[in-house]
Amino acid sequence: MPSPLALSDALRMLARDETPLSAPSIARLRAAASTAHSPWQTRMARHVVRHLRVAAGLLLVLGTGVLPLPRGTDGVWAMGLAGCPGRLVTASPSLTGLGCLSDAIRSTLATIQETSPDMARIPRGPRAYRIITRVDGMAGYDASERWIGITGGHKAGEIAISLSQRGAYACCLFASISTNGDSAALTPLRTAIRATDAQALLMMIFVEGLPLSDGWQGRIGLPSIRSGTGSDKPAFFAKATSVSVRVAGNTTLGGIPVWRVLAGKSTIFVDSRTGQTVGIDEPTHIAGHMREIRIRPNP
Amino acid sequence: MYGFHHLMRSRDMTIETESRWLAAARTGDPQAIEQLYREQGPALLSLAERLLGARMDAEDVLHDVFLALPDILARYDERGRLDGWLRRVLVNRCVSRLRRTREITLEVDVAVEDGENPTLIDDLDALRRAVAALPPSLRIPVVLHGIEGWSHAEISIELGISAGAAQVRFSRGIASLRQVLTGVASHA
Repeated sequence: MPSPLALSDALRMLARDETPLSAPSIARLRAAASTAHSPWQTRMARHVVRHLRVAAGLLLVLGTGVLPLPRGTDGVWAMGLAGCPGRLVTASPSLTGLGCLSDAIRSTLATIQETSPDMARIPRGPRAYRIITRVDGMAGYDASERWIGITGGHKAGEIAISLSQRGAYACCLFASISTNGDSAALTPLRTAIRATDAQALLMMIFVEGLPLSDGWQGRIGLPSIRSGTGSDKPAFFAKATSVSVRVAGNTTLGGIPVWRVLAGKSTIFVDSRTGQTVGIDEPTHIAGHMREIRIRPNP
Repeated sequence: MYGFHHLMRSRDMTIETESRWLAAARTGDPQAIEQLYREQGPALLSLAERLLGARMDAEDVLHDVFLALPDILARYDERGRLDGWLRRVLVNRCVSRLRRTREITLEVDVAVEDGENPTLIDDLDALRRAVAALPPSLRIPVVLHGIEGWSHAEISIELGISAGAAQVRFSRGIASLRQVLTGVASHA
């Protein structure tokens, strides 16, 4: 047993402490250092991913620069390990700069593959403009909305990110929770987004147990989420406290039978068999701002 | 004479390779930044974690420092040790982060006298836990003065308080540690 030290000496001993760096930590730093980024992007990415913990593949686009989010890999693991059935789905018809998107995906996946080789697959080429990354794989739609591929069969959770470019920069995040999802898992994300000061489009759509059927309609509340940028707070937020939602028939998306759920200016595609949101058409007029739509049954 | 030979006392790198990595890091070379991260990171991460009280926060700040390394190194005149200089940069960023989250209060504290009886420590892990449990306003002076060896004047500049207040906070932190560690001992 070592001799007892005076408190002051013992404190000095602590100066020699070292905390081992984790492999994901090194990989994240490498990815971030290898990619064009700004402190703004890093902060925002960190906020989102850190609190979401399921944000594999989250990407930010800034002009032609792309930043893989630092904690994406951890997010994959966290979500998979937690068995979270939530999913984030993307669809961005207005997306431009496909080459940029493709690079972003590859860059992010490269990071994921390095530390989680079983969890990432390279999508089939740059023509995929709708991308869904899964815990154990990746799927994408091509321009004609054919589901061009998906790997893995993990049902624990999946995540996808929509990218959008609007002006100098824009990022959009679509999130949805399946009807049997763990909405609590995303609660920290909402807090995190409130904390961001990004001029970004962040749009979260939550579907929770809607009794969907053709013709179903209702209104949903729009929580007061401000972008935090102050002056650019749009009238949209001030006026729209709720939005009408209605089911406008069914269709297929990537071979999946879905309800078309109109929510404001968004169209959400909900798997009619499972109730899970499988796609979203984004409105393009709110780029630069963020909003959250929470869809739940009216009491 | 203090020069570049004293910059880094890394475990694995030679001075020549250190010099190359440093020069490359100034240009933003990702490989060099990663290499320096691997070398300097463990000690810095420990310090950041101690200051911030949370591993993830510490890692975030540490990443910020290394991602900004090209800019940081541009202000580094190589007259002191790099590791010590990075520690100061890191401390500054940690304090800024705590300020943003309003975890540091700036009110003037009331002086509390230290105990006269020396407290003997035979369990460093208990001490680590006790330090981590201190509120940030006390933890930072304890870490910076007690562990890192900063003067109260330096701490006062960092925290934007008077040197006297920094000393008071340190004393309060030490008193709190003594109380906790004495309690630990008595329950052991």
